[in-house]
Amino acid sequence: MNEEMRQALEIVSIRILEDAAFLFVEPADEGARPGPDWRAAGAELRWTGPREGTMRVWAEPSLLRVLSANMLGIEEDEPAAEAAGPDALREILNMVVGNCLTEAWGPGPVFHLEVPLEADPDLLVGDAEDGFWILAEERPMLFRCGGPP
Amino acid sequence: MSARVVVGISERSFSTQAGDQVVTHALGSCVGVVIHDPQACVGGILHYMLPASSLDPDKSRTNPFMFGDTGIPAFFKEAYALGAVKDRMRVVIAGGARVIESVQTLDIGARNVVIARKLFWKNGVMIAAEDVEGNRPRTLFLEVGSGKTWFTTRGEVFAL
Amino acid sequence: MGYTVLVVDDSETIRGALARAFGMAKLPMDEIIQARDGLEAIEVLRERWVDIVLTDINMPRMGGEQLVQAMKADPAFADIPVAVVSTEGSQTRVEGLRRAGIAGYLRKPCRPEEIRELLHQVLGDWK
Repeated sequence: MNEEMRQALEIVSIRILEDAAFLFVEPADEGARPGPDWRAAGAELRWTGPREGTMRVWAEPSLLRVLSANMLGIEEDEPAAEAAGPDALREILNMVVGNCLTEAWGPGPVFHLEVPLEADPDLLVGDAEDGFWILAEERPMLFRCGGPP
Repeated sequence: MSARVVVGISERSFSTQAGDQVVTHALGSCVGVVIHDPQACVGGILHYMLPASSLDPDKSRTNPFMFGDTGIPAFFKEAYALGAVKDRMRVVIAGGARVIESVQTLDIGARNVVIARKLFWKNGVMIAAEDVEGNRPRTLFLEVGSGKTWFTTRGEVFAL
Repeated sequence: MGYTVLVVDDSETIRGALARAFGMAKLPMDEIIQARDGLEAIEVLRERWVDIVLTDINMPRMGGEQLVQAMKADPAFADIPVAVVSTEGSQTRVEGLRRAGIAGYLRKPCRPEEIRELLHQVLGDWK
């Protein structure tokens, strides 16, 4: 992972999850990371500009429901929270990438962010190897930032 | 006769006397929440210490005001019982400082602020004024008659 | 008599959150109309009276920058105030949007208090 973006991620991901979704977040040490059978939903966002890259985020489905419920100000067991979970994850990724690019490269450069999409589940295993892990509400969440695909 | 109502840590107090002043001292990582309804002449301050009652469920049962997630709803219910109306209320928050500068230590102050914002967002409460996080200790004041709210820190006074 | 607000964002979560914030701000509203991208927004503008547009930048088919350009180029829509709510942090792009005539800009994530302030900035006081 690009070092500037990794440092930016450490600062930005926690702040965005706190500000946008009111989650308690902390970096995850190795012992807190899930095993290879971890099931997670992913979102992916590519950008172009002075530097190009891709970021993916992975979280378990139960956390997606918490994300959307908190962002919408509704209860987790409401059907709307369940339905909006994947969209909420994509929007969190959108905010993390937008804010990371400014954190890493300053407010000058103009980047073009593509529309966030659902991530290919086969990419999770590789991302788990060198991604950045955090704990959100004590549940694992994984970010992985790379160069152009 | 006017009085000064002092709110301790993990406590809340109200006054319905226009001449009274409500004050809470030593807001470090703790958060102080002010509620004021000018029409009902109800003013109060909650001073909670920790964000979530899951940290100590037994304590939250004996004193819900120690935690943000149990203290804030209980505090609002008491304000309503005294005649305050949500649409008229002015809500102010202060505190949530990062008292110990260490990467290893969890930022309790920031979490105390996050829980307030979460509950206000879910319940449709707007924050009228705030001074949170940073690293300064704060003493928070409310004048019940006027609704004037301010805090002091290291000898300086700031209106909220 | 209230405002008709057009919210343009491809995220249903953001559209829902903005609608909630308008209610919390006690903005007098007749209706909130939602669109998922710039093209849908243009269709709404052709058919409906809209008092204010809040738009994202990065969206499929037609993004916020193109929407602002299209609105400002069409005399029928040029006077409708447009505010941008986006994750965009590039000053160059935000200044470009201001030159193009946007009435306000707010960076995501944003709090309900900031949305209320943006609405006041664009629409004036409503109390």
